[in-house]
Amino acid sequence: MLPLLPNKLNGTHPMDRTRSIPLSEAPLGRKMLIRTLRSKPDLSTRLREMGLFENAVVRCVARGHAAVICEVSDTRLGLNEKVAGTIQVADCD
Amino acid sequence: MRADAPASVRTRTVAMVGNPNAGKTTLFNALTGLRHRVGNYPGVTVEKKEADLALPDGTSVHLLDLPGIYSLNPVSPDERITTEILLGTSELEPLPDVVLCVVDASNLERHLYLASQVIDREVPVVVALTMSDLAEQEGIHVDRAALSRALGVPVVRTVAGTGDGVEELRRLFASPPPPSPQVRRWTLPEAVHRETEELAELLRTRRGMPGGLAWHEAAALLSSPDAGGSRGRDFPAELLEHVRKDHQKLEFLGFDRSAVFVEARYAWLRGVCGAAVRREHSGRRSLNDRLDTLLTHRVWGMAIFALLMAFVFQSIFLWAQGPMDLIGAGFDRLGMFVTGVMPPGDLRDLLVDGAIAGVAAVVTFLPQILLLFLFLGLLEDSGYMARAALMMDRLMSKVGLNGKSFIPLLSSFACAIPGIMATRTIENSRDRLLTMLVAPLMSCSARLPVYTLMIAAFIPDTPVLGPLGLPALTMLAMYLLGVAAALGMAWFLRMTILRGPAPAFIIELPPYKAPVLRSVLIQMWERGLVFLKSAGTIILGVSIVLWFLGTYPRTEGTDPSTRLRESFAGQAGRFIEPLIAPLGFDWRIGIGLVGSILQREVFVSTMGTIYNIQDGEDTGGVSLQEKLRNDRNPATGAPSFTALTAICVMVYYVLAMQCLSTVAVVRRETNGWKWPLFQFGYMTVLAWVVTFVVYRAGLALGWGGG
Repeated sequence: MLPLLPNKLNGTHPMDRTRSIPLSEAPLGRKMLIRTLRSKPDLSTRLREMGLFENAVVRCVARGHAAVICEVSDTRLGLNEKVAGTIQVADCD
Repeated sequence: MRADAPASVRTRTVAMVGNPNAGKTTLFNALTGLRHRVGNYPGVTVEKKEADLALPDGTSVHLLDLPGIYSLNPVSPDERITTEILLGTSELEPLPDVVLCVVDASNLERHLYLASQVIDREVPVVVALTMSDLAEQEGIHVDRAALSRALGVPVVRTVAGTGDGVEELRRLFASPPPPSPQVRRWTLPEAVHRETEELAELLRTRRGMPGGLAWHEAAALLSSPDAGGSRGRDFPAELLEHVRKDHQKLEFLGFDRSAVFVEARYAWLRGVCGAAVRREHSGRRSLNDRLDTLLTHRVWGMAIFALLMAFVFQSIFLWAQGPMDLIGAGFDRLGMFVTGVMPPGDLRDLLVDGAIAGVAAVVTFLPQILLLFLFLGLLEDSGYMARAALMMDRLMSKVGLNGKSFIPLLSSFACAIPGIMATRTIENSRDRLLTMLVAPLMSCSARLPVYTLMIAAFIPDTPVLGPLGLPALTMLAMYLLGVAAALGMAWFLRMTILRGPAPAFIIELPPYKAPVLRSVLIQMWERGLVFLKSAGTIILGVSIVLWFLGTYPRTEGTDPSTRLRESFAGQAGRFIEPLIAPLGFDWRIGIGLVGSILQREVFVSTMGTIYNIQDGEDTGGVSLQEKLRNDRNPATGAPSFTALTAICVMVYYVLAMQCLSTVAVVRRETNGWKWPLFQFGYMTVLAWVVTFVVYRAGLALGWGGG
C-alpha cells in the first residue's frame, strides 16, 4: 500500500503533467482519476464522503439537462453541472 | 445485561443506521411488520421511528430506525440527530447497546465508510448486507466470512422480499457480539497520526471522553476549517489553542487536513473490499447505463417524465373517485343515523352538520392521498425518483430551488400537508423553508370542487383543440397558474428575503430495481395515518367553530339562507364586501371566502346553503349551477355572476392561503409562528392583487357581459 504523500508535493508528481479537465467535460464511459476538488470546504467534504475524493477513479456515465451522472467505485451519483465543474479529473494511466 | 436479571428488567436498544437508499426501511419493516410507531423527536422536526420486539428467549429489544447518513459528519438536522445518538452525545437517546449497520452489497466500499466509523466508536456492531441478490445480478459477489474477519463484526445477509436473515439478526440481538477488535486499522501519515493521538489523549483525560469518542472528536477537530466553531463551543481556550497550533503544524507539512482522514479510511476500505469482493462482468451494469442515458436524456428523458406524471395524476383522479364516493356515502349514512337517533336541537346539528360533515370532508381525500403515496413509493423504490429529481434540478435551480424540492412540490398537487412534510429530506434549511413557503401554491385537491363548480356553471363547453374543450383547458390553466406562481414566488423570495448561495446538488442514484410492494404499502399506510392525524384533528375543531359561526346568532323561523346571512359568518361576509368588491365579488362569495379560510371545499357547501340547496355537492351540482347563473342583481337586473367572476374566483383560490391545517403543519415544521403567518400574509396579498388585475383586465376586454 502506498504511503499517503502530503498533497503539497503533488505539484511535482509526474502524473500532474497530464491536463486536467472538469468532470462536466469528461468523455463518457472512460475512467478518469480525480485530481483536485475546487469547491468550498463544506461541499468538498460532502463530495469526499460520497466517494469523490482525490485519486479516486470515476467514470462519467451520462450527461443530461445540466446534470452529470458518474460512477465511482460501484456508486452512481448524480451531480448538477456546477458541482461537476468543480471536480478536476485527468486520464488514468 | 446480567444473566441473572429478569428479562423484563432491562430492554436492549438496537439502533439501525445506514446510508439513505441502503434498504434500511425495508429491513426495519421486515423486522417489525406494522408494529412500529412513528413520531417526532421532541423539540425538532425529525421523524422518530421505533418498535419494540420480544425475542424468543424473553429479551426485549427496543429498535430504532435512525435517519440515513453518509458519515458521522452531520450536515442536516436529521444527520445531526443520528450522529449524536451514535456518538453517545445526544440528549434524546442514550448510546445504543447494539448498532445494526445496514450496508448495500452492490456499493460496499462507500457504505462501509459509515460502518467503519461506527465500528471505531467501539460499540457492538452487526452488519446487515442488503440487496445481495441485486449485487449478484450485477456480477458482484461478497465473501461474507472474509468481510467479517476484516471488520471484526458479524455480517448477515438479508434479502428484502424473502425475509432472509431476519432470524439470524434476532439471534444476534439476543446475544450481541462484543465490540470489534478491528478498530482504526486504517493508516494515517505519521505526523497526522501523532497529532491526532495526542489530541485524543487530551480529550480523554481533560474532558472525560471515552476512547472511541475522543478519537472521533480529535479527527473532526483537526479536519475542520477553523478551530472550534460549533464543535468547540464549550472547550477551554487552551484546548482550542492547541488545536489551532496543530492546524498550523499539519498545514506547514503540506497536508490537506480536510482530505487526509477521508482518504486514509477509503484506502483501508479498498483493501478490505479487494479481499472480500469478487467481480465478474455482467450485463446488468450496462443495462443501468443505458437506462440512465435514456431516462435523463435532454429530449427523451423529459418526454418520458411528462408522460409518467400525466399517467400518475390521471390515475389518481380516476381511481380515487370510486372510494371517495363510497366514503362520502358512508358519512352521509352516519349523519342520517345520528339524526334519527338523537333529539332535534343544537347538539344534534353540531354533531351532524359540524363534526361529521367536517371530518367527512378530510377523510374523503384519503383515497387520493394514499394513491399519491403509493405511486411516489413505487417510483422511489424503483430508483426512478432520483433521476427525476436530477432532471428537475435544472428547472428548479433557475428559480433558486433544489432538485430535491421537486418531490414535495409534486406531492402538493394532492395535498400540501404531505408535501410540506416531505421537505424534511432537503438538507439546506433555507431551501427547505423556501419549498415549504411555496408548496401551497401548487393546486391541491381541495381546490378541485371549487374549480369544478365554477367551470360547470360558467364556462361553455366549446371545443378548442379537437377533443380538448374550453372547460378542460380552463382547469389546466388554473393548475399551470399555480405552478407558475410557485416558481415565480420562489425566485422572488430567493432574491429578496431568503438570499443565499445557490444550492449544490449531489444525489445518489440507486440501481434500478423492481420495487418491493410490501414495504411500499407499509410506508403508504404510515404516511396516510400521519396525514389523517395532523389534518383530522385540526379539521374537527375547525368544523365545529365553522358550524358555530354559521348558526349563531339564530334567527328563528326562516329558511337556511337567511339564517346564514344573519349569522356571524354572514356578517363577516358582508363586512368584508367592500374589500372584495374591486375583485368583482359580492357578500355571498364573501361568506364562502370566510369559510374557506379554514377549509377550501367549504366554499361549495356554503354556496349551496346560500341558495338553499339542501343536499350539498351530490345533487346540488346541477341546480346550484343554474341558480348561480340565473342570479340577478335586484336593482339592475343584470347577472350577479359572470364567466369573468367565475374565473376570478378560481384565480383567487389558486393563489390564496386558505387551509388552517397547512398553517398548523408549517408552524410545526418551522417551530414558530413567524413563517406560517408570513406565508398566510403574502399569499393573501398575492391572491388579491392578481385577481384584481385579472378582473380589471377582463372588464376592459369586455368580458364582463358574460
